[in-house]
Amino acid sequence: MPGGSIPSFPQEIIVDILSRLPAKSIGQFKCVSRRWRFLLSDSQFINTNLNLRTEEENIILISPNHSLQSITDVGGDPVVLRTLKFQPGLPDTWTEVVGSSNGLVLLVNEEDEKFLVNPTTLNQVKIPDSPLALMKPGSFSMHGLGYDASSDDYKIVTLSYYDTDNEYEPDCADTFVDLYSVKRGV
Amino acid sequence: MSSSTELTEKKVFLLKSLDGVIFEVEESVAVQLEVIRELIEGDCARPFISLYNVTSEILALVIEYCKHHAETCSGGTSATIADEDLKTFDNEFMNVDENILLELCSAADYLDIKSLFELTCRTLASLIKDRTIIEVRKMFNVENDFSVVEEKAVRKEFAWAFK
Repeated sequence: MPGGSIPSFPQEIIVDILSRLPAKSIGQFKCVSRRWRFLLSDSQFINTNLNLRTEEENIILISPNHSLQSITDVGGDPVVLRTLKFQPGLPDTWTEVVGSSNGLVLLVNEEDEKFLVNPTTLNQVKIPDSPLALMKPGSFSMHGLGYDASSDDYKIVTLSYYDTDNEYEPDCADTFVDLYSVKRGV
Repeated sequence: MSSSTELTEKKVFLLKSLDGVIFEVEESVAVQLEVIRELIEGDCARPFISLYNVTSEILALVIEYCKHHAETCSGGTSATIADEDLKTFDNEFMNVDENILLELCSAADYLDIKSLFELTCRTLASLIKDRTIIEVRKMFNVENDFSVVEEKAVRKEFAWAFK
């Protein structure tokens, strides 16, 4: 078994060390004790962790068979490629990686449905279309994902317009813009 | 360094460790310790400074680190060569026993040496990232205060992390 221990190692320094860990280790170490679980779930800890883990690179891509793959490169360690399998019932029909923010990824599938996924925890949320959105067949949509620091929320923007048979001059009169707040769920 | 400071005698400080060992260091090394730099800037620095939280074993290492960093940064070498040199030095410097690493980390925090603190935190993080929960509890002396049922539930909640 590696390592010994120091009787009273300062708590603040332990937090400083833990805030440099990859997400997976943090998930595991939430099971160390009640106190650690609380410390590692703190929003300030999470923000520090996101800022400090700059050496870690994740690439998300869609394979030719429409499954989702991630390539992880943590400075120095061997590169890991894995296929991301979400819960059953969510078929691998991904068509587009729209964008990412702080490790969350916005995806679109064949049905033009939007999903916000966390490639580490494999949590996924379907982003509903606005009831006022343009009819799906016949309209085109563009999407974007971003983090809004002022409200500590992730927001998804959808811009839709009707097909005018002229991709360079979309019919701007029938444009619909939808802003979805992940925190509020509307 | 300007010629006038080269002519004047180099200022030295005496640092005393917890166990009473005295180390003589030049100002260029001493100022790497933010606590001492602040004393010097505030004109409160005495030539003799007691450091109550650091043992001589650790203080010797800290001084070795600061000396190397001070010399590399003031030397005439180009920035990229200096960077490479520091990287190699840092890597070798971190090749020590885990308890020494923990003590170095704690000393870097107490003496406020940001680069050493960052270096030790990162090294310790990469050491523990693949350890089991039981090993981590032992390393940091953390008592498992989950009940059997709670621990089962929390492990289930974070099952993604164990895959």
